[in-house]
Amino acid sequence: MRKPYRFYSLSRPKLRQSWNKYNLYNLYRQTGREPQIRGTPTFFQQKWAAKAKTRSYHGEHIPEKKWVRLFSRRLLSAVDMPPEYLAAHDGSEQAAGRGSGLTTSTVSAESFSKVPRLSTQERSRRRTPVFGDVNKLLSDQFNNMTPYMQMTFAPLERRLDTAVFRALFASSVRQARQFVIHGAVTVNGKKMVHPSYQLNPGDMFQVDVEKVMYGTGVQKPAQAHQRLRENLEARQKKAEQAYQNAIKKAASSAEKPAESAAEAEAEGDKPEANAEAAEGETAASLTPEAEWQLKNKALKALLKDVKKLLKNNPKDLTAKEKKQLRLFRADAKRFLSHPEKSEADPAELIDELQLQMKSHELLRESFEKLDLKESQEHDQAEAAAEAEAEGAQAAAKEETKAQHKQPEVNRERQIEKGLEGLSEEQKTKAKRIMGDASLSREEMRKLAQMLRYDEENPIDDSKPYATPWRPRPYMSAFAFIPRYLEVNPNICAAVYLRHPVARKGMAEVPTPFSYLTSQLTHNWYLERG
Amino acid sequence: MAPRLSATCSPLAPVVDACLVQSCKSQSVPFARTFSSTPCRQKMSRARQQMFQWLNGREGSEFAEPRGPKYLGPLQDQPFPLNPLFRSQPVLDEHTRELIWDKVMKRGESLKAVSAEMGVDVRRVAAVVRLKEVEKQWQREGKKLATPYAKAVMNMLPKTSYREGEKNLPHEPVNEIHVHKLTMQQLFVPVSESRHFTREDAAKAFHDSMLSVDARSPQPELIKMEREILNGKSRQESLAKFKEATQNEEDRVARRIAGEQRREEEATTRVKTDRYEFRFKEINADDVGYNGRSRKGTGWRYGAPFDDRKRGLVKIPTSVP
Repeated sequence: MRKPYRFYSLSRPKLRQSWNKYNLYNLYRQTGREPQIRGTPTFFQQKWAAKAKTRSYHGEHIPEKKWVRLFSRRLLSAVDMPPEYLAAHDGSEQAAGRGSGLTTSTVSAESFSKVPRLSTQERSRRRTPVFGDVNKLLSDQFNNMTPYMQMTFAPLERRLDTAVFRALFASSVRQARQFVIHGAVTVNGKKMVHPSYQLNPGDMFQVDVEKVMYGTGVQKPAQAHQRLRENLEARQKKAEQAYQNAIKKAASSAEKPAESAAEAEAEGDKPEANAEAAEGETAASLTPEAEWQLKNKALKALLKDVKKLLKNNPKDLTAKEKKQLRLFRADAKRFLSHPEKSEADPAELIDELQLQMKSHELLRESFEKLDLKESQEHDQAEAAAEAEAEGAQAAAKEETKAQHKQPEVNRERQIEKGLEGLSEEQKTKAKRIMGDASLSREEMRKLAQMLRYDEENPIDDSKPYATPWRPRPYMSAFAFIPRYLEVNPNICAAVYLRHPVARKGMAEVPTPFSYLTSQLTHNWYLERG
Repeated sequence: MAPRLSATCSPLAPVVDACLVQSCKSQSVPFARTFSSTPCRQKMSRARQQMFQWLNGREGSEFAEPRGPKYLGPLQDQPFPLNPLFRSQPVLDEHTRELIWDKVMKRGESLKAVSAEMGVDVRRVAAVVRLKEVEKQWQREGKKLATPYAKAVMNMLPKTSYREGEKNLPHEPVNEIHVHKLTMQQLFVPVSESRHFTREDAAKAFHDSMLSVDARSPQPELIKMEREILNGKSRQESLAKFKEATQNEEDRVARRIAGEQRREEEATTRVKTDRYEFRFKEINADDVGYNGRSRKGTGWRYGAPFDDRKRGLVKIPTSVP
């Protein structure tokens, strides 16, 4: 049925099956209360008013005709019969001795029950009760009986859309209905597009997780991720600019060592268009050294924010930190030359990053060795050794090209060789470089952990709800799951265990109306005058 | 309605013109209406004002982002202020659901035994296991769970938690009996005072076919166990017996289902081609009965009307297998 005009109204308030804040306020100010009888409203008028009130909450989206057909005057209830009682007594104790005027025994099934009682402790009394409140006086005894009348709308709780709403998968029945119609709900694994499907005991229904997150999460404001998008674009542009600069620089300096450039070209002959993709890739026009420097710069930029982030507790990240992590993920993807839209598992991302850092480290070591050798040469100034050193340099350059394949032993020896001649100044310099462009093992582990925690609830601009996901405001006032449903919120699935029942002092149909109102409504639908 | 002033006939015209000129001079004033000197105020009715006052006030703001369960009603677990007969009852927490799954699937305990031990309805135990199985399957497939949602929701709900090896309160009654339609009437049965009038007799008084509570119990083995304990057996011994009995019953059901599947399998012949698998079964044409409408029959008898697409018939399925 079409949504009525002024669905949530303050002037002519009606209670609705929804988590809306207007509805919360209407509930708070006891909109649906049964009026005190002053004057002489007829029984018919009372019934009419009660019916109108309750129907605006229970299945207002269902035409009256359909609801009347669903209505059943057989109201279900259940009694707790503890096995201890059934074993100890055969029921004869209830009547024994009555004929001779004895008082009946106090033994009953209820006295054996171990189930915790409902709390009767009031949080705070808002208003002092009015003296002579007839409705209140009538209601006092309802706690000691089975409130059958509250079960009037039990047949509606069987409907699929209502059950989806009751399981907290949608913020209103109308939304739940839309989820069903849009094909986001399955019953026993089969898609069910009829919101009026009557669930049978044992039916399992499952709602699409994305839809649930959308329905119950904070709404995404317009232009929500504009800053994030701007940041992402700026970083992309910056990275590209750095790459272009490096190419230009390399081109100006490459005239001199022509043979090395030729070699590089022979090594990786790539089209110019491809060069734009990412700086991590080996480019045609860059010498290994320039490329390394470029990469070093990129790594430094990449890890600058991360170092700051790592100081915090990975378990409770603020939204700002989450945003930084989101930027880091984009940067890391670009650095590792992944496509931008690709789904990256944090473990994979970290592994690859580690690999890259290792190879980067190796390169650094070999370059440092070169630098050292050059400086040593300058110190010693031996003309005879210079020719030899040239040969060694060439060999080292050869080595850098095949870094990944370099055997471990060889590398160790190189490091040893490189370190022996280090001056103090150079050592500190090396440390500084290492501190900027790499992470220790411990830091790496922490980063991985942080990414894993973040992946649970990340900032994701492609989602239709506000990210990181947060529950709607005022949701908790409506958050209850009736016992006839068993819900697993992890997979957004629930099982309809049985039909709702009434027990002593409690009915399982969630209704915001008092017993008196429900009674009048039930009498209306009984159609007895 | 008062007639509007026309610029030509009104004696006020020069004044109005002067005002207009003045207002035109000060172009920087953002007011749309030239005569108004006060900024236009957004319309806010008294009711709306009061609503926002409450929402932003102490009481309302507690509901916006609370820690733990928080409901409107005067009672702590009462979501609707007018209806103290509906309460938000606790749900099983994550740990307990995991424990139930572990007990049933890993340790191989019977559903009824788990139900009796933990104080959870048998149907709920089965449902928890079923849902947990789906969750585990998702994890195996690497499908993303709705973890932030689940955390938030579980934070908002009251929970019962079962700790192994400790004394726990039951979650819900395990032996609940539906009130039968026949027993909802008031009866006056004259019975002699000397007669031992039990539950069985009371059931018979309502209707000849009416069963007593003991016969309608979902946990008859549990009643038997308690009876044995009252007769002087040790609790340990009778509990072991109870567990064995429920285990045997479950095995029997499992065997029956396996037997049915095997028989079905034997009755069908499978022919596998590269595209399809054909399954053939023996059919008896006489199963349809004399009017062709027997439920046992296969397919629809030629010529009998088949009303499944008729106008006015409900096409919404009544059950999903």
